[in-house]
Amino acid sequence: MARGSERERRVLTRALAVTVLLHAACAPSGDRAGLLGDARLGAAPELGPLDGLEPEAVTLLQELAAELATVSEHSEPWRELGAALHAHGRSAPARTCYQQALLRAPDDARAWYWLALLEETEDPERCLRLLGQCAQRAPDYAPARWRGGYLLLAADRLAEAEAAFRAALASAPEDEAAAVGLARVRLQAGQAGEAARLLEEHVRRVPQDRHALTLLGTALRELGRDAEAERALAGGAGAEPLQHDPWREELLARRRGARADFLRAMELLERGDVDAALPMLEALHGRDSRDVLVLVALHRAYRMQGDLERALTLLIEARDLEPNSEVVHLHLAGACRERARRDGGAPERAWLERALASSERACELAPTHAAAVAMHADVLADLGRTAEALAGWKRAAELEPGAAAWQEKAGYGLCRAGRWGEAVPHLRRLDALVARSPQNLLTLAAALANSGELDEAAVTLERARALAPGDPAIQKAIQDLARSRSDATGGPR
Amino acid sequence: MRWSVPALASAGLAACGARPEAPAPVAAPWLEEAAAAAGIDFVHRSGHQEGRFLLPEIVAGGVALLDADDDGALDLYLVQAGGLGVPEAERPANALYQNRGDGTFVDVSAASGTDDRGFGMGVATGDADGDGRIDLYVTNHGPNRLFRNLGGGRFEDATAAAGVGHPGLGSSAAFDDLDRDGDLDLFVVNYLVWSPATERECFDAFGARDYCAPAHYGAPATAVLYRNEGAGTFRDVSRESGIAARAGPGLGVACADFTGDGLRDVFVANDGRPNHLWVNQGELTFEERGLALGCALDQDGVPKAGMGVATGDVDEDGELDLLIGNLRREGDSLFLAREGHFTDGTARAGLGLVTRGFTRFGLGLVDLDCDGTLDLYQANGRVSREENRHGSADPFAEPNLLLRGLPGGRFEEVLPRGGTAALLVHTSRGAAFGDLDGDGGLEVVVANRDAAPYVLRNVHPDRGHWLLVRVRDEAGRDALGSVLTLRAGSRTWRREVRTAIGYASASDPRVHFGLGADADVDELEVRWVDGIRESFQVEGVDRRIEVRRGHGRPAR
Repeated sequence: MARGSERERRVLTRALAVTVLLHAACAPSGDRAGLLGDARLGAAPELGPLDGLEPEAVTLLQELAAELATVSEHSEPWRELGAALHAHGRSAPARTCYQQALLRAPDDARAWYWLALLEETEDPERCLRLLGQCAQRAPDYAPARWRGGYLLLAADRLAEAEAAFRAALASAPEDEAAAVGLARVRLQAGQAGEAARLLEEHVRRVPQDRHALTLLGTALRELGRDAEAERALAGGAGAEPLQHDPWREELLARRRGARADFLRAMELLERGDVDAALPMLEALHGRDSRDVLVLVALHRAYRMQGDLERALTLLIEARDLEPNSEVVHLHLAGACRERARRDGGAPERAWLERALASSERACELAPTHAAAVAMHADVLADLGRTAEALAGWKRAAELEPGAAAWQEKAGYGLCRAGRWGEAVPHLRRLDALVARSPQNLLTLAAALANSGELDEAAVTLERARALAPGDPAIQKAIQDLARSRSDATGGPR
Repeated sequence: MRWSVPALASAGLAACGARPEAPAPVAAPWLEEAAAAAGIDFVHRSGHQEGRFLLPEIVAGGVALLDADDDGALDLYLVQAGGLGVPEAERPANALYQNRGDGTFVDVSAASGTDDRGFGMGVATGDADGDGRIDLYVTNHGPNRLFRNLGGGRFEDATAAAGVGHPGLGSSAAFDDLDRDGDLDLFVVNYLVWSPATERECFDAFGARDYCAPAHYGAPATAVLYRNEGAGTFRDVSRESGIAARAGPGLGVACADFTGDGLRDVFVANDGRPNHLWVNQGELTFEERGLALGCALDQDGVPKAGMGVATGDVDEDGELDLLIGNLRREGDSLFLAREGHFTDGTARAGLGLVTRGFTRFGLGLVDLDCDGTLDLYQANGRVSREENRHGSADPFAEPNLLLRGLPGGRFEEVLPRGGTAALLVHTSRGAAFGDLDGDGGLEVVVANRDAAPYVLRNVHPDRGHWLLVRVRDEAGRDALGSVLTLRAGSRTWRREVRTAIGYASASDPRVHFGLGADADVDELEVRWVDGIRESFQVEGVDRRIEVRRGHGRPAR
């Protein structure tokens, strides 16, 4: 498509979406004034009771309220106080503040957006109209569109939902939530074929969006493509939708207090930013040295930095404070295993025994905690107790079918033990979870072949060959299988 | 400690946070709260103490409607919790209220022998020993209890003899003839592997103490399947049946033939994890197929916080659909049956938005206005502390919802909200459905945390015709799992004989049909659990009838 016409298409799509959202906004009770209730320009509201908030949060709110009192004719202080109240769960005064901000600055797109978020659960219809106001003023802010799109999907207003998602994509062609939303529209409309096509395209473009695999699996199932559906569903298991919403993140960043700091530090740790997370966690530890969650998080940070001794000390402290936490015992087992290998060479048995004791205690406390069961199996394997380890990995894989690591350990371990038939379901699931792995496909093919499922083994090897055409191991396996099949039928090779 | 900034004087002070109000409702109420007038003086006690949040406190609360003394009137059983830190002997007990026949009750708890003092979670009903009398199974934190009905409103604790005292954190349970051998097996859902010693400290997003979500424990539980061995005894076949292979934080359960192969399957709603559909393979073995068959996740591919489960033919296509109540910010999950698998029909049914403001526990697809279309009642109450917008001092309290069924499988909310003239706001949990006063309209009894229950009398001003059918097998026992098909004029209805409906609760096993304007029944067919069908003549409507196996005409 020529660039000029592409630009026109985007403009038209945007105009259509704005029209649709404006129409929604102009529903019988919904003009801009109506959306702001009977609010009139006024002065600072009562904050109301601030029970249950941490001191830092209270201080922030009081400071913002005091600032507002001096400049209440401006919109931004109202919006900032509203956002802080909103971030701390105080809906009614937050709403007042947003309304006051908007009376002063009707084109403040953020204020419209945050007001919409406030209403999303309690009054979705109103939320839609507020999102429409935001979209008018910030036509390029994709979340304002796709958030409305998902509400419209829930209301089964498919044409409007589609327009919203298309408008989001017009301004943000890479937006995953909008792309997936469009496919959801097709799915809900009963157009599974088109939904599958969109999702397959999306998954190729954005392979990290595993959640889309679940939707793809749903579409494939509707089409009767059951085997592919099962694979896709397994691949998407446990994945969260990818939804990037910077303005919502800005709102949440206004939270204050130890809890908010802890959550922020955990996010940093998950992203691998130990240097930023560590001082936050140390500060939290300084505030409350008996907080076991902080101790566990701090141990993680030190482990990521390579300071295993400090990490172990922290975990032992945590265990002494909370002897019945399987999470603490689980991490302690992991840290002891790591310590056992620290100096290279054969693992130190004494540390492995400590790891075993901790993993046993974790399993005793929470026998269905898949990670604890898997950790126990890992330690058993370290100690050479292979059969018990295998049983543990199988159990962990049963408890948490979406965990590729345990499917791999169970599948490969069973293959090594010659228990091919038992290995097959684990390896099938592993293939679904970790797509495009020639090694996994090769192992699965071996298990299938040794279980007598020669046809499926052949198909699996062809898939492996397509991924790694020159791989000699795959070539050899194909030849061996062909020979086996020929021997079995007595026919020509 | 209260913190506030004094309001500044101003002219024209704005209304605080005011939203445009919806027009005032004008419809007549469908339901009228009458617990006190009915003689129910039970008050649930979770045992919650400020500063200490023990998980079972926030999910406990079942109720059962059953004819305990076989006098034709539904009696009422309410499950008490009483406090985890309280010695069992000192806890308040579960309560049995005998129906006088007119919808008023008298407390017969002590005399009945059902006044269990375990930390009660829920209740199931069924004829466990096949003697024709309905028994009670109470799920507890701690050993569950089976109370065997001796007749005359008296029960005895038969737990040890029956071998069904599983000591986990039980939630919902269901009696069903899963192996089709003529007696009722027992499926018990467990929530988590939990004890007070393993309780966590959790906080809301703002730093205040709160109940933990199940994900915090990482300890989902496995369900338990007891096979009825006859003579009132059971054997735990969880491992050999395959049920023990998968764990989940189970809260709701429903038994039915979901795959259309004639075998009884079991659906378990899991809290925050994919639901389980245990597909019966025969010989009382099961394979979990929820994900493959489309009822594990919602249409967005996300597991929801499944609590109560209701079944019914919502879209009137002859197949049994599944409805699951979920958490606030999550709509319901309506899984429509489609020839062996399910599709998510929540949005199309009009349930996508209206329900997401509430946390739904007890629920039931029942025809409250007897117009021939299933309505939906939802008992709501939060599990985490949030700003309460409903005017209650209880941070977990919410109003319940009543939605009227419309042709084509859609629903619309009935106003006034919850179907009562005055808005009722409590932390509701289990709900049971049955005709308490014999007038053909179904009542709703709702268990409320730390409060009295609701006994909601059906006062719909314009109810249609109705039929209430007791379905018994050849030995006179309620034939749980039988499927009824009733034809009247151009309409056909499908209903099942069941007691396990909603959340941790048990309803009247008699099958209720709302018939609308149809005053003549053309045919009533029963498909028994073993697949044999019989047809019965029905003379007139607006009455209670009984059909018994062997007394009808064979049907093809």
